[in-house]
Amino acid sequence: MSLIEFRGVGMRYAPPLRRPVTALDDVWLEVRAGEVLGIAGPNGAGKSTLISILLGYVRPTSGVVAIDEQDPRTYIARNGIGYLSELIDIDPRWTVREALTRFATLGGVLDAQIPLRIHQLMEKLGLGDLADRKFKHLSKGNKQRLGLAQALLREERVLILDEPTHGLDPLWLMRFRGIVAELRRPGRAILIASHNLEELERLCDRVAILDRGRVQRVVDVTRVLPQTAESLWRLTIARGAEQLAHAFPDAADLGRGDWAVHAETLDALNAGLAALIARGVLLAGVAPAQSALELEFHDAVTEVA
Amino acid sequence: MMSAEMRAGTYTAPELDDAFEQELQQMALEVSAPPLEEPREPGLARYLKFQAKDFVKHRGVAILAIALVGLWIFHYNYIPEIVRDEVRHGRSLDAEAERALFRTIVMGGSLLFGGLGSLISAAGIVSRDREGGHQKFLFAKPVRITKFYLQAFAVNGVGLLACGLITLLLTSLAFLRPVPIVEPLLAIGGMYAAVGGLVFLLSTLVRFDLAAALVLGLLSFPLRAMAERGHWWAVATSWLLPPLYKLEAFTPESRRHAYSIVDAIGSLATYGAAYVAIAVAALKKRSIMR
Repeated sequence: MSLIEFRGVGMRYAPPLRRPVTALDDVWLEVRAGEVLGIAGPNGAGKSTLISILLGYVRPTSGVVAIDEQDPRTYIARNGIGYLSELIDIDPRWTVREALTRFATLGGVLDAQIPLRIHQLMEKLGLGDLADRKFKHLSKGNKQRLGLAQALLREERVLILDEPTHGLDPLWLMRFRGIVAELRRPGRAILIASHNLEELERLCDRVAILDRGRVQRVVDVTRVLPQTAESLWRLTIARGAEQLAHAFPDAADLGRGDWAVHAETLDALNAGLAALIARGVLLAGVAPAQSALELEFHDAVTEVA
Repeated sequence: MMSAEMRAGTYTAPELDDAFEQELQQMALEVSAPPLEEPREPGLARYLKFQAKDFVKHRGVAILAIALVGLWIFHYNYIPEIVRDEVRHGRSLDAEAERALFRTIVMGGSLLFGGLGSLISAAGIVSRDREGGHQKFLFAKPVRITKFYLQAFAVNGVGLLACGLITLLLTSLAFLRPVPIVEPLLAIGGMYAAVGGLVFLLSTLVRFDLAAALVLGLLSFPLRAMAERGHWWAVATSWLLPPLYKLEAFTPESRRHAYSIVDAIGSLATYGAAYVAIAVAALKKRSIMR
């Protein structure tokens, strides 16, 4: 069952005295209940416009957007959604606790449950020591965690996370992935827009690649296997790198013992590796040089260009 | 769940193990997941306390500070003003005339308070949120944008009246005498409806709503003068601005004028309602994004 639907959505800005800009053009997309859908695209691809339309903050110039078969603002005004944007921007004078209390109140959390809910989220997201710190005094990463906390105050059916890991340090990046994995529910639709393809590949079921206002392709990342993608591989060689040219004439040195090699098929790769081993080369690692999603993204974006 | 494709194909033991593991995890998730339909309490009415707090912290304190300065000036200059009045009229004031003078000054001060207070109370209600960008987070919650801002407008209006009442009570304390309460509060309320309503409308449309309101206020004087001289365009334009001249009805010496207090309050409230209705339409139509 589709919880979020974009049906032929277009958005054209026509500022006075300036050339009109088409931000979105005939976008068809759906996010099913229980699914995590990623939106990837280069800068200016239309991701932010797509999300603004989904939140009902901007009306599309053509097509229809629906959340649970309702106009987005109608759905949100009745049910609410969890929303986190790239740069959370709230009143700089609010403390962490006050901001969460306000959002919980507005979000409909029962008065009696608010303190406990806020305490749990602050602990989970490492904000416990910052409860009384003003928003303006928080670091970028802490602001982002506060943004995530306010999005998770209630068990919403729809979660929209726009560049959710912006500003997070590597430790919190890993924890964030765990938190999002926990958010999966059979009846919930999660939409994540991000520049980070690795993150999308880990978290999402499908990723829509958006470029120049159009959905160029939708990649089912649960099905695409690395070996079906174009064959650029990264070899890590502990000893005998000088033998590499015998098996892979076009090998490129990536530094620190890493080499990039082309192999059209898995058979060709294995034959090349066997030849290297026979020549006494000691391999420390073999991995696709680019993830399947990166390759799909590259293809989709360069096809358009 | 295992797909039909996977069930039909031939797979190795590790692949089947992985698929089985996934299936078990999915089942565990379905059992352990909390229900998505948790009870909800309407949030907007409960959010009123935060809007009231915002008014007190960011507007009410400033309004009262200005009012206290005004009260201090009034208190400091009142006796000299009586003497000037006596000199002007060539006679000493009797008790009734002095009371009338006091009342006139209190009403004049209340009108000034109403004008300034309305500007401070209604400025930026929408535009400041839009500029700050936190509307995106507020309205991801289950709340109607129009109701949220109408509530903020109403809270600020009540707050302004409360500040007016406090100022009047302080005036009574400062002079150790009774002051009129109802008429000044009616005048402040009428001004908030009209001037505040206009500023609220401007805040839904433009970024610098306070500056726009001040420019309109300044332009209204020459416009009204031209309208009185019969310039049709000035007459037509002045219809768009609130009829503040009807506030004359609140000054004791103008009781013989054409406007009654009911007429003045009715007109100001009607203008205010019209401005707010247009503001609501603008909020519904216009993007809330910057």
